[in-house]
Amino acid sequence: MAHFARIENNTVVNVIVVHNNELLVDGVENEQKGRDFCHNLLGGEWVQTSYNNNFRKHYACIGSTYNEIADEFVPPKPEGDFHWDESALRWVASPPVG
Amino acid sequence: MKAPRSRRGDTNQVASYWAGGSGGNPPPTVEYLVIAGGGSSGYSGGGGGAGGYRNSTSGEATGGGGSAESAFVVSGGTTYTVTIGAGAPGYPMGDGGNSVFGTITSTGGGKGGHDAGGFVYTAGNLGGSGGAGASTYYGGGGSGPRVTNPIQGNVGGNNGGDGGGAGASGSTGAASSITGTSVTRAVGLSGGGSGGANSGSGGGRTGSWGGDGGSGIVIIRYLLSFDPAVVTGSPTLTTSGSYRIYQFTGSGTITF
Repeated sequence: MAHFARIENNTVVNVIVVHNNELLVDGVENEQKGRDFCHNLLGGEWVQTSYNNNFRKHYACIGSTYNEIADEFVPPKPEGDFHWDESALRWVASPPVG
Repeated sequence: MKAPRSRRGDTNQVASYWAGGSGGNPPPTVEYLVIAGGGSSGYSGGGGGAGGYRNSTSGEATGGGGSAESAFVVSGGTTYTVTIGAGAPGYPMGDGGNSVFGTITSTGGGKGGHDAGGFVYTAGNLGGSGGAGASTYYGGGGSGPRVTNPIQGNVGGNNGGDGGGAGASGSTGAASSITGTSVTRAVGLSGGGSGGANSGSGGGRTGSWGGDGGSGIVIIRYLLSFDPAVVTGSPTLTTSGSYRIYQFTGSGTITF
């Protein structure tokens, strides 16, 4: 199954599941065909995302930011004491103080 | 001249072959099972709630243990949208996505509460079934509520427990035989498990980044005596007893 994220103002507002058959062009998956399928179904702008983080750096969940220039998703910061780890490219819990 | 229909309804993978209604004999009503995506568990916190579970299958229960909803009244020739909500990933956590069939919307499961650092624990989120709270030890982090219009699941647990499920109470799932075989879905999982594809189950609680919610599913059935539907989205078509059954694991449309 493929996943597509709906983008509004560079923010992910919805993620839906699409059957891989809907992406096929001459037997090969084509993202644009999937984008068109989602647009025709629900309107709006859609970008494919990988549940296993195989492309665009991170899986897009609701609240993620889409960086169109870098063509990647950035996950939203969890509520509370988390910081961005540049080496791991992910949010990590901050160690307790003291 | 009648539109070509030679391949409609005679394969398991049905594509969009023909734009239009089902012809002269659409079903007046159809039964449905619409399950949303499951919520994720919270970081070092509670389990995620199952996706909302709306069921009109005769003789069965809908989410939260109530009687089945009314069958969906069909307008022949009208195209209905089917949307399959994604499950929420354990990292960075979130609510499940809604699933939709026509005017029937099931709400995604609520994220489990999490350890936010500094002895702050968040509550489970509202959802089709609510996420479990992370902890109430310091006075915060209660269980996540459930959607009530209509009820389609249960509230989440507490103190790092399991998220709500679609069964009669607590985190248990709900069984349906809409396909001809009984399958239990939309469980509030425990022990760090992840909801499987098209299960609608909520991610299980863990001691760190948690379990993923499962994606949703939409199943529609009606009597074989009525015409096959026209579909997009590659649903699986099967028959069982006197029923024709469409299972959408991906989004699409259906026209009766």
